[in-house]
Amino acid sequence: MNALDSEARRFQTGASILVALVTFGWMAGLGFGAGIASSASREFVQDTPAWLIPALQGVIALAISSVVLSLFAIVRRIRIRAGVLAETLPRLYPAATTQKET
Amino acid sequence: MSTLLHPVRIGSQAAIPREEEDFDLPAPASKMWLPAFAMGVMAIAAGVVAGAIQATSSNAAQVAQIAAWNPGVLFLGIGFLLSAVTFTLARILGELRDGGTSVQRSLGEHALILKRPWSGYVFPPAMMMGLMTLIGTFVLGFVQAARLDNNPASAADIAAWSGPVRFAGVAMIFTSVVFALVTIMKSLRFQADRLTHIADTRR
Repeated sequence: MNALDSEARRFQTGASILVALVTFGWMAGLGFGAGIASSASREFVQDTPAWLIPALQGVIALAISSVVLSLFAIVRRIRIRAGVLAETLPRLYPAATTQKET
Repeated sequence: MSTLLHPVRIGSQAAIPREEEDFDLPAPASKMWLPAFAMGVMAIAAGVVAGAIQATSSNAAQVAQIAAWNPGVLFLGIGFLLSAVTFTLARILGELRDGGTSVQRSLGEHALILKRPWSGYVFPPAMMMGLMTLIGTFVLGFVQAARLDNNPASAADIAAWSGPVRFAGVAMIFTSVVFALVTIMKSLRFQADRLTHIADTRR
């Protein structure tokens, strides 16, 4: 149970780090977008979108990865929940645990 | 264990015995999420590198060709990553099913599971259709790049309609995510109903 809990915490931490990177990524993307709009350099205006759009799709990929990590944390929590229920419910209904095993 | 007449109703939902499940969907999903995730990361990395090459290249033909196929690579990467999300949701469904089974057995009850609802049948093909659409547009990007020199009108036609098709593919995978979440919601509701049902029968 403790191992599952620490795994879930690790996944949650990983997801939080990715969300921080995603936030930094879209803010940088907005900055570059404003830069392109206000720049007088023709080269900068022509070249930047070529790498900025793939980079922003990379940011979306990071966001999706953080969703995957959060879902893994949920998988571990579901296992913990099932384990706790399977252990504690028979104690709450001690007389009935063998009722339907026939 | 006693034999049940099935499907039985638990609350408002149909249930079947655990051993009578027709297809174990979470089992292949548990194996498929990692290849899908890895392919998604590789495709996105390849797309970012190609974008950097496009930005620094002084060869106009090379820039036009990369601009033709790179969106397909990036969208395919996003599609694989979203497919990994769908596979992980299927895995969550498996965890809910197995956890519910262990809880029922610990109480000495016959293990019942939710009979797969319509949303559970819809989400895997929706995901596959979306992914196949993105694979199709990925190939089309290279067809478009090959026609830039010989048949630029045809290349422009492909560019005009392949963009919306890419978004349609991503939308289909998002739809599959929604249906998988609906199935999880039904599964959670079933578990609550089943616990209430067990408690009621023991009064």
